[in-house]
Amino acid sequence: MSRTATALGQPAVLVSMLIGVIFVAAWEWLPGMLGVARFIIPPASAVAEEIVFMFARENLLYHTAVTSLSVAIGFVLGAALGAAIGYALAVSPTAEFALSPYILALQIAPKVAFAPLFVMWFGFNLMPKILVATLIVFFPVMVNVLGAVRQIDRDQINLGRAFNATRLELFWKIEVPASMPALFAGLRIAATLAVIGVIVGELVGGSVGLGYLLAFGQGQANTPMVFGVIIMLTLIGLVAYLAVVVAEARVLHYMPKRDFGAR
Amino acid sequence: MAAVRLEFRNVTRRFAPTRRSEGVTAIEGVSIAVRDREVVSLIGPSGCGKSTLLNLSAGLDGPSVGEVFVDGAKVTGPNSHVAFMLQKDLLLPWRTIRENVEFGLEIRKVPATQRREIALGQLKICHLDGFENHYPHQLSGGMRQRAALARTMATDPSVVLMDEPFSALDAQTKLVLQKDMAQTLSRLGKTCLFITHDLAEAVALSDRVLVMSKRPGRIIEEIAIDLPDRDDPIARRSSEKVTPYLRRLTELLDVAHADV
Amino acid sequence: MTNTINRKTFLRGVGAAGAAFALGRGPALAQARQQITYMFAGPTVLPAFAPHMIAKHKGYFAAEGIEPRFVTGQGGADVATQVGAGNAEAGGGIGDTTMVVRPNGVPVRAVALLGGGGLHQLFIREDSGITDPRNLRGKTIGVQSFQDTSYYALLGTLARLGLTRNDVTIQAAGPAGIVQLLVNGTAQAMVGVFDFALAAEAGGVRLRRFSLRDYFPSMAQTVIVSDTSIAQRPQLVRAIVRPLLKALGEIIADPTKAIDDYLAAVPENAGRREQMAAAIRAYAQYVYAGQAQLGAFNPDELRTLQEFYLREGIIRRAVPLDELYTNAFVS
Ligand SMILES: Nc1ncnc2c1ncn2[C@@H]1O[C@H](COP(=O)(O)OP(=O)(O)O)[C@@H](O)[C@H]1O
Ligand SMILES: [Mg+2]
Repeated sequence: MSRTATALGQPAVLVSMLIGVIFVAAWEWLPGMLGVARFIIPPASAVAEEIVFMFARENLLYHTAVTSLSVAIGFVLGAALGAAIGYALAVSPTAEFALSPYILALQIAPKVAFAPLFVMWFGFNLMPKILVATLIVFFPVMVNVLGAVRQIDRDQINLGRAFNATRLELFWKIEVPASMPALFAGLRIAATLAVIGVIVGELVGGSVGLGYLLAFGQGQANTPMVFGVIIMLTLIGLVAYLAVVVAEARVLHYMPKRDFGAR
Repeated sequence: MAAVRLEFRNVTRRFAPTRRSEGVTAIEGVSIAVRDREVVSLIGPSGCGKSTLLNLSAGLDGPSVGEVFVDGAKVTGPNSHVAFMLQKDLLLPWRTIRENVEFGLEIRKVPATQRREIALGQLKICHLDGFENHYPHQLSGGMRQRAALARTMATDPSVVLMDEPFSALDAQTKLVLQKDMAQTLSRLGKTCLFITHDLAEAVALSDRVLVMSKRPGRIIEEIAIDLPDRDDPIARRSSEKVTPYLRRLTELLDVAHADV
Repeated sequence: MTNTINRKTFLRGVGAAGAAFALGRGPALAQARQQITYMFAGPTVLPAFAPHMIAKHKGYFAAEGIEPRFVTGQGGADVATQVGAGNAEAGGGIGDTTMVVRPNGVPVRAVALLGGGGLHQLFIREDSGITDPRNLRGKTIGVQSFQDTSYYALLGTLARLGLTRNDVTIQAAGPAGIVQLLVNGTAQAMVGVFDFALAAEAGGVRLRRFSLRDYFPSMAQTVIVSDTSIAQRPQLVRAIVRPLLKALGEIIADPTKAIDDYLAAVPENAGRREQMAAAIRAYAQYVYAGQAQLGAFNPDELRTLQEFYLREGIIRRAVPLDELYTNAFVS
């Protein structure tokens, strides 16, 4: 069984690597062959060179660390808040009924548009960046948790009630674990959104973080730097996503095995 | 005369009208008495209030008129004398089979070691030894329903309520589980109210069969099954004496259908 | 390919314009005018763009056979990039814009310098009691952003004052924030354009102005076009530069008249006549005036600026001076 799996896996890995090589090669040579200027699409090697330069001279590691920290804090805060409010609304239909129009409005409002306001209110520190991330992470987590608790089979709850479970026991022993898959689905989305939130905040203003480097690179028409920053941001998003996937695999170990990265 | 374990006295349950639906009277003037160690089946057209009756017995719902008693005490809410089992196994996917069987005991604050002992014992009775550390998704439908049975028995209820527990299983699995359940009930001396729409199942498993009318559900007939082998439904089924009972029940249900 | 087509259209346009002129027929002229895109580094309603607006309003561009459409970019480098990529025929930068983008391969040059002064000034709150910029030590100074020329100009100025960036607190606050910082007293000074200073004064603070050019070769706005345009469409470049210099000369010569012209050109600003008048007078006096040859660059200033940028690490490579500008279109 497992032998078949690896036998099947081998060509897929090779094809995947081949696609990667073709992509990088095309990136390196195609723009030049088509006469696209380097300041419009810099070749892969120029971007790689720029990343090395940014490590050496532009404090890339520091800026990456600042952005990662903001992403992590914003993600944790947004996820915690989203889950807490999601559960609170789920167990209190009255609260949900009263708050749902406002929640819907806030959910529809484009969160990143708050970035300039937050910067104005809280200044040029990490706070507004973290806040944008928190706000943007909040909704998918809250909506997923709320939906999941709502969808729990009434009979499942009745089973607990028939055993004389208290409200708190129903919550911790049924509602919370039953909503875990949906919570993690929300967290996966949230992990990538957190990076967007932070970067938008950093683009608005400040002098640290990858968003600053992005604006800095763009402000000098230094396109390789812009590409370099995009690569670093993708890496941060990837790490955040994988962290959720790993946590999910541990928490949801009882689930039938799924493909890596599947929704 | 054996003690009455479960009793309905002139029970009516009405559901108030809501924005979505007009009000319905699910059951009306139902009086039932299930005695100790008796297995009583309840049959009737779908929507006639069978599950409502079960919910009232479990204390998950209260009657609009009348009273329900379990072990002589009036039912006012969920209580530890009753346990139920549905068509859905209701196993919690994040718990192992053993942990699922322990669920009711855990809520009743039974110490862990004792819980474990009881659960393992029940799993053995239900032929699930060796699967205690599996998760529900790793088991077949039949095995999961066995686990649900083990969970139902683990809290040692005096009345067991079953709502079409085998209706989702394939014919062969169903026969095996019916046999296991019949043996378990009779070995443990449990009292059981068994809801089904399968007439043969009702005849094979029970001491009495109650027939309900179309909604609003009333008990329109009570048939005592005077056959041996209540703990061996397979033997019972092969007896030709089953046929008159089946014919009678079929007639009754047709009447029930026609009685609009 | 595009260039060829555009050049043909252009030549046809110029031909038609000439013919129309000769015959004195207006409508034919309007029809033949070539549309071009001119990109600003800030909102089009800023009085900083008065020469452009007046030139368009008074038909100076039309007389050259072109019809500019003004659009706003994301700052000087963005304008240069768009011009280099061919998305705009011309754009506005500052003296240093080509210096910053050219080493990164953006093929653009400055073809006119709109004034002999510096666009950015140092403003200090009067109530701070500071009359000598040397005394800014320990104070907070606002700039628009850390990626902006005004910040580099501040660094250069501080260096000449014998201060470092650690002797003062520099805050980047964006266009709205910088005014706010000054008005609420968080910052005692700022480096920026007149437009910000006038907004702050409208908010109730009195400011003292210091020219950065006393310390640092801060420059005025420039007109940027691509190398391709210079090589292949010099007439077009001339058609863009000449009207701008004409309007510039008029503002310098008669600011009071220019105010009326400007408000007629940009009626959106009519409600703020006082502020606009003050801005245009200030620009005329401190930014536009002072050039021996209107529109011409002084290579020595560019050299000093480039050396400073290189030293400070603001640019990594210096390109030859004659790749940054040309005075060929201003004479
Ligand atoms: N909670 C409830 N609210 C309103 N109506 C209900 C509720 N539960 C059951 N009913 C109605 O009561 C009737 C009997 O339902 P049920 O007992 O589930 O029937 P059965 O189990 O016999 O199929 C149905 O018409 C059903 O729609
Ligand atoms: Mg039912």
